[in-house]
Amino acid sequence: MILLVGRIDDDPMAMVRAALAQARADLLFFDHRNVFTSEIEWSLSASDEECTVTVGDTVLDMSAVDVAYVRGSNFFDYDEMRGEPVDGPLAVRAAHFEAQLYAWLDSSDAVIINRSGPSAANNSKPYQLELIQRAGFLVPETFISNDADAVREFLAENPDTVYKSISGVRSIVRKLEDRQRGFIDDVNWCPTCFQRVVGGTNYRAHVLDDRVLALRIESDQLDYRYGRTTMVATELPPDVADRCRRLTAMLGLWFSGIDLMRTQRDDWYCFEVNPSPGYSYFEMVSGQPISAALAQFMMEAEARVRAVRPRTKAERYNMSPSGDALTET
Amino acid sequence: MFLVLSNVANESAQQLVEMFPPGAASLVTASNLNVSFKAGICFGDFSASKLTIGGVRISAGEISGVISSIAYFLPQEFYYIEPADREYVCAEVSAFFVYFLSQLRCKKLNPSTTKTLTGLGLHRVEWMKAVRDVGVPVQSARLRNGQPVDVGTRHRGPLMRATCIGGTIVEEGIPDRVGEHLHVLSRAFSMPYLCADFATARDGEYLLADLWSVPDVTVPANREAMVRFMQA
Repeated sequence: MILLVGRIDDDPMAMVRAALAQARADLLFFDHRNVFTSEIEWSLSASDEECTVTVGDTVLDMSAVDVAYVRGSNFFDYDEMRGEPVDGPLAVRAAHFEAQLYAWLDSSDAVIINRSGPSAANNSKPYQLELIQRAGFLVPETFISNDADAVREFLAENPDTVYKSISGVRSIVRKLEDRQRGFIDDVNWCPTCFQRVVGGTNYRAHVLDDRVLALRIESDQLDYRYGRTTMVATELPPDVADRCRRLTAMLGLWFSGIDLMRTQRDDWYCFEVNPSPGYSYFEMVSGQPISAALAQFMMEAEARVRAVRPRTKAERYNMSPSGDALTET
Repeated sequence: MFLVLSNVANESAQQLVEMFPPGAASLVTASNLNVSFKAGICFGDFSASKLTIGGVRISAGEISGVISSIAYFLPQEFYYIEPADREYVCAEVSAFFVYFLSQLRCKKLNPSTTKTLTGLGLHRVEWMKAVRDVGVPVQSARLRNGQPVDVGTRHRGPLMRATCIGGTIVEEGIPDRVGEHLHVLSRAFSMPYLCADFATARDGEYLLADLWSVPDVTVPANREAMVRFMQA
């Protein structure tokens, strides 16, 4: 069975769910909004392990999960949390449910897209950059600092520089102009990443295990997510595609979104890897069928897992035909 | 230079710093970061990166050891930052240290992961399965929404706590079998610090009941063992 964990109003989740439903996949959707009311129970003994998730009257035996696609969401943003203390019983319950669910998925033998440990490399950009370099990509000259004087020294030698966040928190990549130079002292309060500008053409590669779906991107903005942007499906040179596969494997991911830059000298730089790609944006702009490819990958992975797994508990889950929380599609 | 990473409320961390020779160790906390720790890290040339720690300018390669008593920084520790920005600054500082600690080639109690500044960073569900997989017996457990559910007492006597620091068991009188289990886990997880509670089964076997991988510096014997490990 394929388990989807996320929100239906999240485009990447909605699109792959539709693609799986169209392909008549054995599918179950766990709406993340049910973290406040659902129950997860797990037990371990010397010889056995069991785990069930209960939503209303519906009980899912988690051993039936062969493949899971997980799109994280912040329950503090939900209506249920309005006016609730962040450390109150509702939040604590939801946090415990979520932590136990993800822990079970992370430690299961199912194909999990993607596990939280490998995904966490994206929370430290320089940490991830280290792996990007090891996979054979060039990376821009990078300086990370909370020392304003040291930053000024770097900028004196590298005047053409962008600045961005170090963590996985989304930030708009901006070129450092005269206006920002007046605020350099602020880095004394918060470490910041500075990177020498690399000119060229942006590419985005979505990697699904061995399959690479690439786009060439033209934009009027340095950060193409915030500009007038066109995207065209393309093939990467074989050695570049191989590096993308290697990098995805090194990070322990099944599915990744890789940001690349091809220079005029045909050098390939990699800026970062997204372990939970918001691929819907790229599919909607380019028409590239990424959701269909993701659905196909999940169904093939499910068949592979089923072929090798003992199925003693596979059919022991109850389905709620009309439940909107844990729904059979 | 030895670094002790902790939070400002943990007075034992300062005591640990003072157990090293004068000037040999420095305390770094989120609350004093803006004055205690300055760094300029050149990606690709880490060991040459310049640091100012406790007012002393050193290169990253001169750090001989790190002891961290915290797995995470908390936004409220950045009291000197505007409240609306604390979460962002906390995420940035955490991301910085995950990278910084991963690059240091020195003794670490304990190594960091992509999720934590020190220790395993695993949920009970994960470490219990991992412990069982390396052949150390675990006590049966049941968790409902993160909370333990009573599975009935299947052991005799009180739990026994044992701490392994750099291959040495800190407590005296710990049975050899318990020490062996801890050494197996320390090697399997590549964590030189582990603290565990063991239950005694009716057949005399010792079953792992709980496990901690974030160094506890509040225990005096632990601090002494940590200093010995770092200076060995």
